[in-house]
Amino acid sequence: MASASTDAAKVIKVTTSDGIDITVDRQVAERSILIKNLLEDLGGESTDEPIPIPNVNEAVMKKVLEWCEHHKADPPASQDDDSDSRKKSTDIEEWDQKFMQVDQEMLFEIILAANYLDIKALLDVGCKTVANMIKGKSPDEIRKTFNIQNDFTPEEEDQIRRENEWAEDR
Amino acid sequence: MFPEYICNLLATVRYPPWTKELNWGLHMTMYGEERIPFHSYVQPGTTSPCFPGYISSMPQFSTLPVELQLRILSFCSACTLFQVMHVSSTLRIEASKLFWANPDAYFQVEAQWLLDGGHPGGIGCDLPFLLHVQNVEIEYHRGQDSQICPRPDEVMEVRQELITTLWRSFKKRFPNVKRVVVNKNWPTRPWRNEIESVSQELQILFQYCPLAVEAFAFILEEENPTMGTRNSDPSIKKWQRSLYRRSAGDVWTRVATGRRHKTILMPMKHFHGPVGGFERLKYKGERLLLQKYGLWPLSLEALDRHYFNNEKHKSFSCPYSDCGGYFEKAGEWTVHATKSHAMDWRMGGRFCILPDELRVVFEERERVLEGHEKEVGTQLRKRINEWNEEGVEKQRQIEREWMEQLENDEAWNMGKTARESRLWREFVEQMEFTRHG
Repeated sequence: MASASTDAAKVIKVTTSDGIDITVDRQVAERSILIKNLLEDLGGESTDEPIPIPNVNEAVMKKVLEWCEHHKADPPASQDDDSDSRKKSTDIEEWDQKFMQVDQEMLFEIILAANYLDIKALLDVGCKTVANMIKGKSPDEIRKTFNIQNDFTPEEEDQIRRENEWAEDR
Repeated sequence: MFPEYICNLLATVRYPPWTKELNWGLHMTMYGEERIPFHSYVQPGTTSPCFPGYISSMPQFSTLPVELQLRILSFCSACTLFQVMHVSSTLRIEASKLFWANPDAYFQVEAQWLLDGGHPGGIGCDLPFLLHVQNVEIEYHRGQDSQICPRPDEVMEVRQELITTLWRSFKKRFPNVKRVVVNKNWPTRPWRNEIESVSQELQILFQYCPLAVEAFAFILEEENPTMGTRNSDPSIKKWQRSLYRRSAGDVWTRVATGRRHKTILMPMKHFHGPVGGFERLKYKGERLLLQKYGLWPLSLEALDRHYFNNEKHKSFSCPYSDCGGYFEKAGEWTVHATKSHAMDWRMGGRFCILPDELRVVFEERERVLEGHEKEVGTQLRKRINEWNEEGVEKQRQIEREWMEQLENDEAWNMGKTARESRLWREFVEQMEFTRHG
């Protein structure tokens, strides 16, 4: 029979930026390297105390934890997580595609939260989602999609004209 | 196609699941290696599918921390990065870095051009493009072994000055190069007791390669060679392409088998004036030939997809007579045809194996390419007629125009006087050969 303290260590609380406490399985929360490291630093003694997450509000935190719950059994990120192999594809698995069907504000917040909480796999899904939004678009369409100003100097415009000639079938 | 080149063809054909349309712009060498023209490499793909509720804009992108913007760009393909390079100054800087550093893409250049000194006139591509290139594939042809390391009386001589010229031209023309692959697509005997796959000539060549450049040899070698089979008939051996990397102390290590990188044909220069007009015909003819060679692997894929696609799965027998092949899964036919019928790929009527509706399409495509070839031929004939049939004064006029351009146009500088230029000699030879021939 497990002791009371061991049972208590299986769930933790986090406090979001808008002051809401959320109870979550420790295994789920530890998808976040930030939370995992904090818990390790606390040595398991203070897990009754909520962990403050000052950069993420309740709505975004719940969404992030929904992702962590689904991926709780995934193998941990490998050492070469940032290697080229990660960048080979913008393929996103079906569940993650549906998960990312959110409004643009939420997508933006998920990316920032994944970065802050150090959840590389979620950060990659967010970044791939945005990369897919760029795919097949012209520079003008990309500017409109991302609200970016064309700020090229005349010299850069000249070079771009030349590069566009390279892209012609001649 | 000789059996040793089937491994190239196997890397060029497309396998299921086929997620894209047939690539009618497929370019392939007569040795089965795919070549990708730059304009195809950066051609925008299709917009990614939108799901219900999927967002299509994200105006906050520019407020994301720079490291997150870069992370997003790191997931973009080369063609997407090429578009992003033309969006804004900030994105251009970062997208350009990723675009030119793409470890999967190598830009091709002929070894002979570098051996000749890398003069602007000896190459059909736009020289300013080369300044950006970080990954270069040097096409190393048969005969170049004996150029750099001739063996008069069976004793090898090393033409050090020629090898030095090659690497000097290389560094001058590709000042930002980081990696080089020498593509040696023909079988040679291993050396040093038959244990070193990278030939002696190639190893000597690389001894002079700048150390700051990561060096690879992409060679054709026997798959699992066993003692005693080295000298046997190539047709009964199994061949593979392998990538070897040079490490410290000129040690060569196999790092991959099969083709892992794309070979990109650099964009062509502007072909101005009489010299450009003539040279353009040569380069255009070469590209058309690559497209004609590409039709056969494309026809294999088309037939496979005809029987196996998203809606239907219909088994079929090998359309080649006297062949008992039978295919129950997508892709089986493509592999079978590549391995068993590649010898027939350049035969006349090669599309007869296709059902009528496909055959008509392929024959039409072939006719279009042949039409372009005829146009090249017509242009050449026009020049030949001008030279041979419009009198001495016309010849003198053509010669004056050529000399003027060769002397003054840097794009066609060959490092020699106009009259000694290889371009002029080749032009005259072609005009005279046709007259005498």
